[in-house]
Amino acid sequence: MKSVVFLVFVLMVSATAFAAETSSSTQISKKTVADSGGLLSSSSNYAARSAIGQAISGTVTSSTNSLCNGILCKGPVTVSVYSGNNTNVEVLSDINVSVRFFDMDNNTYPAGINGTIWFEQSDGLFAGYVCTSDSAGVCNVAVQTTCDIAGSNRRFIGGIRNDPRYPDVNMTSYGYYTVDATAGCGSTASTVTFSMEIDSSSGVLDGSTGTSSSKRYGCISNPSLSGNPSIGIVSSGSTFRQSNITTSGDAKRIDITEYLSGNKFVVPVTTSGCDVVSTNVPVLTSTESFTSFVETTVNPLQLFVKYSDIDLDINNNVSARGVFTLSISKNSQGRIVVTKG
Amino acid sequence: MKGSLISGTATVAIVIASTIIVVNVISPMMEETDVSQTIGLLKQELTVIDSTVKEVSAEAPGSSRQIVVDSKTSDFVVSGLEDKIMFRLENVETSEPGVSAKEGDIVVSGGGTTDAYEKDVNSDGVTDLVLENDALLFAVKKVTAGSINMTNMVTIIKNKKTGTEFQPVSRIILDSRTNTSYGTGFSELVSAGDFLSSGSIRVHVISSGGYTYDAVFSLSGIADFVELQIKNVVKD
Repeated sequence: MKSVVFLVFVLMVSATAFAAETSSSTQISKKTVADSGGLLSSSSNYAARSAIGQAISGTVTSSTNSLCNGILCKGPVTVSVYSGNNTNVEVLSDINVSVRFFDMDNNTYPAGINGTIWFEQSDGLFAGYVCTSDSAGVCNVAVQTTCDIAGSNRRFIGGIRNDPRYPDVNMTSYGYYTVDATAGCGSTASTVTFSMEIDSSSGVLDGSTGTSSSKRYGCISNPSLSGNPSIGIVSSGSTFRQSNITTSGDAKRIDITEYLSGNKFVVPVTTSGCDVVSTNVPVLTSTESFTSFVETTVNPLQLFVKYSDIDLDINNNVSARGVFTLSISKNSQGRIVVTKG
Repeated sequence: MKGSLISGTATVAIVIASTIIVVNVISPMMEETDVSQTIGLLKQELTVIDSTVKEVSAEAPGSSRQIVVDSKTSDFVVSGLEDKIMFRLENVETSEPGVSAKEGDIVVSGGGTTDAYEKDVNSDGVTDLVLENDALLFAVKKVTAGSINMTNMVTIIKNKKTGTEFQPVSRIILDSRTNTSYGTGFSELVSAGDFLSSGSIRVHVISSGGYTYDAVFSLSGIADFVELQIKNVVKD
């Protein structure tokens, strides 16, 4: 009888050691849902999904006599959501979720502990992503979302799994996340971003860098140049979403994002700096007949001839009024020079 | 009633060739009937100047003519940079900015026009599609059919008032997918020509990010800005 008990013990130790090695070799900080390295799917993982569905108790006491690598597991441990609960993200962007482990026996947040966070893909079907706790006991995963998992109030749950020192234990309740189903999951796009990057050491950004859901424009001016020329992007479409202004060295980048429906972007190329841009943004977005940032007093009637096959001398500028004599000549370069006599 | 002053703004329809341009007389110094007469006289003056320029141009260097110009009611302007000779009536404005009509070689326009043409404006050996008005020049690389990357499609944006040139790195990103900014496609002028009320450039992109779309850049004759709209977006 003793030999039988000993054989069972050896098998348990071997199996636990193998599981620990497998977990270590597949540790990832980020995986897509389609990446089978972190995805628990198909019938081989059915048991794991069942366990998740039961939302394992958050506290396991040593009295359960759980063995970890053949010795009693540490603990008891609690698992709680550290960040990412009730997150709302767009399709194709990352959802970041962290859970934190707390060793109640030692009153510590243990580092280097193997964990898994499970994300609901469709109703009742979860996929797990492994992580390792940092020095603060925080275990984080970032998962790129897809149209396949779009939906509201999807559940997630995280905990310790396949760790050589602690027993498997999950949060006591689910966290939730939402993937915006309108963002790029239909037959057309949802949002459009127009971006311009200007590399200028003397260019000056209007306002500060960062993302804003209320500032509908970005502008760069150059007060050191005559006329203080400015350039930028203004959202003039019906559904502004956000602006994002960034810098990198001398480069200044403006990203303006709108919803696709009714999109329109305006690129002002003006004088007098960015003030004429910022002050005109409300006008631009509220009227269909906006014509210019720097106001022109009138739309004067002009009568003119413009030559495509005759070159006027490029420095030939005349402005006159009244009755006068006009001299028209051809210079040595074959160009026409018109002067007031 | 001749000689009486017009109070406020009067509206006058001027027939030029087959086009009617409606103008507002905004000066109390000019009567309604004077507007048509003034335009008629200025057309005669400009016809003489234009004929003289063409005569001299056809002759050898050193050729010269002198003519008397009567421009008491308007500004006479020569712009060598634009190869343009012009009379401008500051006291008369068009009811609708950017309208124009052409009679022979003479263009009558209200408030500025846009030229849309092809030219290698940045001297890189590649033809550009250009939209230009009095305020700015906007150029996009011409691609007949082939690779397109929006980062280098906008070749130059020039502020003509200050002479400043910008060469931006531009991007168009659909649904946060950066690979929608490049792919294959073509670019074209929607309508080429001078003295347009507005001009447009269409960039058709079959992107690597799974979307096909048109980016349409437009410039009206009096605007100091370019408009961009993303149209015809189809998910592959």
